[in-house]
Amino acid sequence: MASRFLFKKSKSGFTLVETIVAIGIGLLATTMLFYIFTFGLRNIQTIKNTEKLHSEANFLLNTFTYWIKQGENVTTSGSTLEIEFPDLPLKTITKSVDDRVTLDGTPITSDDIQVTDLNFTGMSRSVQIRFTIEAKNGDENFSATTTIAQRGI
Amino acid sequence: MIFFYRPKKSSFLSNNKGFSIVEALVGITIAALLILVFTSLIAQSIKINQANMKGVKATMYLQELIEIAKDLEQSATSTIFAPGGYSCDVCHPIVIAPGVWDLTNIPGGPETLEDTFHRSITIGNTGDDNVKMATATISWYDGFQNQTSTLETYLYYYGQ
Repeated sequence: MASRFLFKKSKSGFTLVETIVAIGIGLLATTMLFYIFTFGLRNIQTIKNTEKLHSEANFLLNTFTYWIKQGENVTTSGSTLEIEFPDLPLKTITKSVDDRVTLDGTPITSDDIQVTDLNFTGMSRSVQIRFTIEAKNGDENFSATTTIAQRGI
Repeated sequence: MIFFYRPKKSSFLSNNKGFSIVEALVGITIAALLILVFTSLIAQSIKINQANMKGVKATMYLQELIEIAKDLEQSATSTIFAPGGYSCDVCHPIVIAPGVWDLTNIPGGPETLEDTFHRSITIGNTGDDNVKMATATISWYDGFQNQTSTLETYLYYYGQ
């Protein structure tokens, strides 16, 4: 009786086995598509974050270079850099408590980026800079160590 | 009566025919190909992104060599522009004392950073004793091919 019910051929609808198989295949296909699109979206977000970190890093370095090259004397103390100019007020670059880089108190990094490490080391006529920036909405980070020389006397 | 007439053979829902094995295989193959193309595109874009990141870092490390040479131009004038000539072939920067850069020759070849970047700087003589040429080179593998980048600058003696 049961086998007649399960495998009964009918022209008016699907059998139970056909329905179960179809649902199984549908679930499998949905799971696969969901996984593929989630994977795709996550990676697109990773790429966007990395690009953002690159542009932030370039902007930071350009800003440091702009001011250090103009400076007459520089003073470093951990994450703080003070630059003296012959004809401009003192400029202070530092890492704020909310993990942003500030120039005279004004943030110069985006609010979706956090600076986890910033260190200035004063050399004879240059400043060695080490920094790490991270995307707040992801695991991506970018760290670099570089040096910027002061302009010739 | 004609209004309710529905020919059984032409109706899609009442058609008892299923897919043939060939149709099913073709469908599955097309779907698999689409998924493969999609995932490989994403994988490729990640690889390009990583290559781009290495390029950005390589530029920073390369520029650093030139900046250190510019530091030495001002802070180690007596060494760089020493009478009799100074040259450093395939060298890399080191901190010899707090706040003091120096260049040292590398017996084993260029300096390696992050197990990826190989960089070196060469200070060479020009026809003028008061002018030196600094050539910085960095090479790295970006995931696709070996890359090399070079920057050159002149170091000038401005007098004591």
